[in-house]
Amino acid sequence: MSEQLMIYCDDERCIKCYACQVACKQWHGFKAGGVSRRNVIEHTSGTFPNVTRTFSSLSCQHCAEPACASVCPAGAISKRPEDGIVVVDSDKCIGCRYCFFACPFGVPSYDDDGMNKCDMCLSLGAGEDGRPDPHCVATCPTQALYFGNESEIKEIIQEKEALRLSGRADARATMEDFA
Amino acid sequence: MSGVVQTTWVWEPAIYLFLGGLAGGAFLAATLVRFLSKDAFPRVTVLGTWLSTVALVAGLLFLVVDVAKPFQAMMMWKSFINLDSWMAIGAWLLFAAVVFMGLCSVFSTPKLVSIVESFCKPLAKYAERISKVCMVAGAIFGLGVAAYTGILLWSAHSIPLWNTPLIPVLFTISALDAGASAILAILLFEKSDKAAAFVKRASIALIVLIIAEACTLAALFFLHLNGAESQMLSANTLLNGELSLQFWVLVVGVGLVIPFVLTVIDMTHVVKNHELARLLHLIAIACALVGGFTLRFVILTAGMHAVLVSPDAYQAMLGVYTFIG
Repeated sequence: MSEQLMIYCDDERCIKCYACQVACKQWHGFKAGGVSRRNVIEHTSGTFPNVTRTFSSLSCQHCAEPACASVCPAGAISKRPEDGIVVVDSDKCIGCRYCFFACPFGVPSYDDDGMNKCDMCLSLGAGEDGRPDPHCVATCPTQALYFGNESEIKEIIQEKEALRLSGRADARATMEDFA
Repeated sequence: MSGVVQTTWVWEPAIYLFLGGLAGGAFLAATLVRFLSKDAFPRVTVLGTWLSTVALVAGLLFLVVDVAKPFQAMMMWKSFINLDSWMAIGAWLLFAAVVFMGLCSVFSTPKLVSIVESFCKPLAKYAERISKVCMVAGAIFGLGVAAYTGILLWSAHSIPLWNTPLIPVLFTISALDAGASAILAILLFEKSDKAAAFVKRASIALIVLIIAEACTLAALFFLHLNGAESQMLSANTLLNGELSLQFWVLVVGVGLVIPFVLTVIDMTHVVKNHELARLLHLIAIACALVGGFTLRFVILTAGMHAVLVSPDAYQAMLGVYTFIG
């Protein structure tokens, strides 16, 4: 396999504006209240007065070993060998929603065609460099979302970590997360 | 998604899990009654097998109605091909169970056997043998279905509440309890000393099953309350959160305590009036069935993803799942 493509969300930059979620819905033509491929989530920790709110934009992680694919009874989910994008064959999917419970992130959502999830905008055609062009990433006003292959994303995270160690930033993502 | 309960699988899957378990348990109980009594209660066999078959088919209907493409799902040879998936294994188990239970029901019913006889004599000659073989096979597959309803949830590893083998154990015990109760309801209307002896045996079995179910539930909560944050939060949804009323009143009170108390009262022969004793039995059985269904409903709806209830789990998983290998 050539390198895995991925979308990374820097939760220090995310301001919970929902632009990514709206862009995704508009570009793919999803109705309000229906399928949602990308969701902005919030976690609250601590107790008053020391409360921390963390925002993040969550979508399919295109896992190295997709749990959704292994539980799908119809074999409708597969991982593309060329770029690691996890795709759904709507013709095979029966819409049993078992993948929702297998997915560690609860990402799959459903309509009459069955399961629907992020394909990194593959269905909207490739960009100039031959790679898909995820519209959530292009839309994010704070540039919290990054798109690239695995080594590009790792570089971005390492840079953040270096800044954190030098005391110039408070990056939360650490390399331990990716051990 | 709202609050601390999931809304992806709600009523239909819960009904299906309950009816699947009920069918498996009832068929196994009917089989045991038939072979232990040496065919003393043909009516129990006929009603018991039909009850199981109808419950299983009804459960299947709820399952099929719940998926996005019911007609495609019914083409099983196309839709259930990934045998790494418990959903697919379960679908084939169900299919086998329906076939054997249905055949057993047909060949155990005298009127239907005489219809078979009218167009195929040799087949009718072996009716009893076919019915017995199918009964044993149906009981095995039925037990498989009952266990599978729990394994299905267990094998969705991202739901902390379900991610323990105690779930299939709990569902299987509860299925046997519901099934034995249903068969006992039929046995109560048999009028013979032998039937009374079987009612007594069934009552003992029910008490054992109720105790086993209570212990398994206790073990489940002990495990989760001492586990990760997400496990604790999910368990607390049942114990003192959004689903606590349903859990304590319907699962524990109606489903376990009332049947236990009424069955014990009956076994001590305090109630002399035969009709009243039977009524108490029937109330206990109805309560057990309500409890059995509610158990599946609350376990199902409390099944939340760790990442959605616990920030730490979210951070940890982003790393683990995305960068394997």
